[in-house]
Amino acid sequence: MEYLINVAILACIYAVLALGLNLVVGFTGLLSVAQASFYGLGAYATAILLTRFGMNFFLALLIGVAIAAVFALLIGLVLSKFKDDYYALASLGFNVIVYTAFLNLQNITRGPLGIPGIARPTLFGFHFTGNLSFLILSLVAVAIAYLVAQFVARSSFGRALKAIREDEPALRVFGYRTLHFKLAVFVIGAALAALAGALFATYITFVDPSSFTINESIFLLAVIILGGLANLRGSILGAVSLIVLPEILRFVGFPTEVAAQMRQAIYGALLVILMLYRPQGLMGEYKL
Amino acid sequence: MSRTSKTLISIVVVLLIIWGGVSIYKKNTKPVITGPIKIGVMTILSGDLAFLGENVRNSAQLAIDDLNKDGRYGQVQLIVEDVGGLADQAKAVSAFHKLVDVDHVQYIIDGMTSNGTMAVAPLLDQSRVTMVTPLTGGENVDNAAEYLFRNGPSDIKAGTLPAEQLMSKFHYTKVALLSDNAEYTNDIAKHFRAAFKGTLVSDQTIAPSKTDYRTELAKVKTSGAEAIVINTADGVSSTYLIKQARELGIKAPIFANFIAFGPNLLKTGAAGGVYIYDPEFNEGSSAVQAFLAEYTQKYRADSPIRFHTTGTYDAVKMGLEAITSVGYDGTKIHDYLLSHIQNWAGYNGTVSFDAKGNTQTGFVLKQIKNGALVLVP
Amino acid sequence: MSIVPQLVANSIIAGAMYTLIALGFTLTFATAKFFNLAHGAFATVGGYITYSLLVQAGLSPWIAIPVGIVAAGAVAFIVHHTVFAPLRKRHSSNMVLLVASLGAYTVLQAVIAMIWTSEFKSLPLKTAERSIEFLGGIITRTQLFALIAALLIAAALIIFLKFTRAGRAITAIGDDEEVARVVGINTNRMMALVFVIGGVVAGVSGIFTGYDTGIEPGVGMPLLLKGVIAAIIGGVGNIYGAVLGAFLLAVVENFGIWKIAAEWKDAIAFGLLILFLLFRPRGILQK
Repeated sequence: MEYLINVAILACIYAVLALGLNLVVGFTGLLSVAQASFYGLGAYATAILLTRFGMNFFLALLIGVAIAAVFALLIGLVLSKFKDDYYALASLGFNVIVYTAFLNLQNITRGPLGIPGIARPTLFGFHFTGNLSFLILSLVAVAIAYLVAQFVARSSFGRALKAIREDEPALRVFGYRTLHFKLAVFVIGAALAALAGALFATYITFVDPSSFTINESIFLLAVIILGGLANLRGSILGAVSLIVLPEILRFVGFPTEVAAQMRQAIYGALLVILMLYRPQGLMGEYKL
Repeated sequence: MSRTSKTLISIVVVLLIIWGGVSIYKKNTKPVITGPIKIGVMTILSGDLAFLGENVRNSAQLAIDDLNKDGRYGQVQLIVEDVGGLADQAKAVSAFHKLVDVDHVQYIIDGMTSNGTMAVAPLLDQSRVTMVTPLTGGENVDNAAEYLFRNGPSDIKAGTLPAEQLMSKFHYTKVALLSDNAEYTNDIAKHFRAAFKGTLVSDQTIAPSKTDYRTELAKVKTSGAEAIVINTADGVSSTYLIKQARELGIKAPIFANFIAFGPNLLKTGAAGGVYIYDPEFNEGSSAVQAFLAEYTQKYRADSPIRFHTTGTYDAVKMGLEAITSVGYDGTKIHDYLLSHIQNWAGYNGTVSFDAKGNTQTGFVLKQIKNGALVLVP
Repeated sequence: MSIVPQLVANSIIAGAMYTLIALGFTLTFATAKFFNLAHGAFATVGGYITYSLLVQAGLSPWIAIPVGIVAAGAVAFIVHHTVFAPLRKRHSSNMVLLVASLGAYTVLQAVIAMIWTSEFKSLPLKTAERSIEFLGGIITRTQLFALIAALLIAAALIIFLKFTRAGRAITAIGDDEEVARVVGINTNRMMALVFVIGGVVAGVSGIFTGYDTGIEPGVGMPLLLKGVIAAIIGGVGNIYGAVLGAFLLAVVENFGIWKIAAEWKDAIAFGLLILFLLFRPRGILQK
């Protein structure tokens, strides 16, 4: 049972990440490979505030989200000058830079030693030490993320985003300040990533830079493409699938020497096949 | 309120009800274990470090076969979980839960890099499951959990021993340090810097697993260092460093950690004369040599990391001893290890667990001569 | 003793290695107009096939190296034929091609790791390596060969593109594919040729990497990313640009390490890229 709860918690964290990224990539058409940076910023902010200042988790969470939002604003501003593949490349570059900073700014992050001993959240005296209670917390986080994403998607803001995705120059002709829209959605995506990061930090109780590499960003991209771009339930489905699948493989018993490579090969083949035959993913409406 | 929002809220409510019910019925005792003795192994079986995990797994299985040859331990089952690749704390946590909650394992051998170990550490104390790591450990691991034991060499010594010997044995006062920014080496470098009484004329942190260190080495060359200490967490960087150093015409003696020594280094032709700090294990013992030979025969290749093999053997042996003495319970095993593994004869040598559950195995200085490690007197 | 000559030598060596990968990338990007992330895997394939023939089968380098290069080109052809060509026929967007190329890269890397394991391997030299003095610094013989090869291949590509029919056709496709097709150029065949050439050059890059430093299944991506940065800052689609960008990147990296610490090397490279993308996105040499 504990085992399943653990898998569920991880699926929730990735669902939040996926929802945030989908707003940026699926709805607005900005191919961001930088999501892991904001994930990391949220995680590290929470870790540092909890271990060094003994702050309450929920307060630290808000601060972490704020920090990620500020960085997202700055990075998003630079990224907004680019289009398509160049956007992707530049966002990848930012991810590398942020990761290198995590690794090398050892006075703040302790570098590769990581930050251990992060406490579980407490709320009005209740400690979320049991995994089941943490799962409830994670589900609430997913619910919040979903509601935020849905609010964005269904509003006129969301419609403008989709219009930007389809034909930005036309929108600008109509007088829309597309820059503001792109920045706003990028910040929202980053905020959700930071939320996931905070959860991750308190769940595993240990953070180090290795969880926030570009591989992580690429994995998240695969999650939302699989689930379906611009489809929120698809993102949750994609996250659950790509977390549960390796766990199932644990029981299937591939010869272990090639198990991880098999997983990688399957995941790569999945991307190719999806692009060839179903670029809108499992539930998507938008083809890249 | 939209339908989806309502559905979500109802799911949360249902879960709260289930949680309430489960909490009432959940008792905090451990399941009664019957059947074979299960030893869990959490290690890296995929990705760049797969050879390390395979070594740990093979050594554990061979140890069980050896120790249980006469069937004195009944049926012993090795359950191996992959936490593949360096990065995945989440995978380590999942593997732990599978071993403990699904397979009901109470004793685990740890073959992970320290970020996996650190992620699992608090869970060990929570579930009161004992884990022993035959791999090296630094300050992080030494203090991570009550139920975490380290019987591999201490990273602290990996830093302090070279620092002392460079001055006392070799009289080098101007030394260059090249370290990469990994958890393992970060710890060693810290202790080295604190213990070294001479001057560090060059102290650089390199990016790990890159391939071009020529500029860093050029800086070393112009620093006037009498000796170079190479402290990297993977054999790739150290091989390049040593090879490129010699290509650049750097003549100063090189001191490296044990990770640097391997077939790739020997192939470069730059290995001759390099000093290696090799982890201490009971090399002289004929039983150990026999065990290593058995490994080579069964797995058709030498053990790539011999002290992992001997350390894993010891971990298996002490685990089996503990389990047959006090029963298959993580807490009892923990107490047994602390009290009984004192001046205990293992393949790693004679070892004792201190109060924190760590042994004091260290390193010995050797030099590469004609492709083999030769002890330096 | 001043460190600068060695830094110059280091920059030249690194520049040569980056040039090789940048050349193949810039050619395919200029013609097909999308980022092919699998390009790095072509290099890795070249390196591993050569390794396998050289070390596992014990063949002579005179056989192993050409076969490795051909293999890289063949893999490039296969990937183009099965993945990129169908997608391009459907006018899929650049992002779809990018993601598909990422998938192809992942598969290739995993297969290589399954066959040869993840341990890094180096290609052994028949005779011992020799260090040579070069502009006051020291480089090895292999590195000198890499430099010569890089410049030769760049020259060959320039001649090919300018003076052969196929080359001019490829340039035409790069300028405007529709028009090229209308004019009667067999764009499908030319595109396949472009990928094969790109793969071949990548294979050379992989083999030199194998001799100079060594290869492991994941070596392709970081190598490619450097090549991409080089190609972009030099001026994408321009062979001269690829060479220039490669050496510029190498110089900035190495002198950057000298003054700033080495661990920021990657950040420096990407920072340079972002600066160029912001202020001179067409690169130094426009097409």
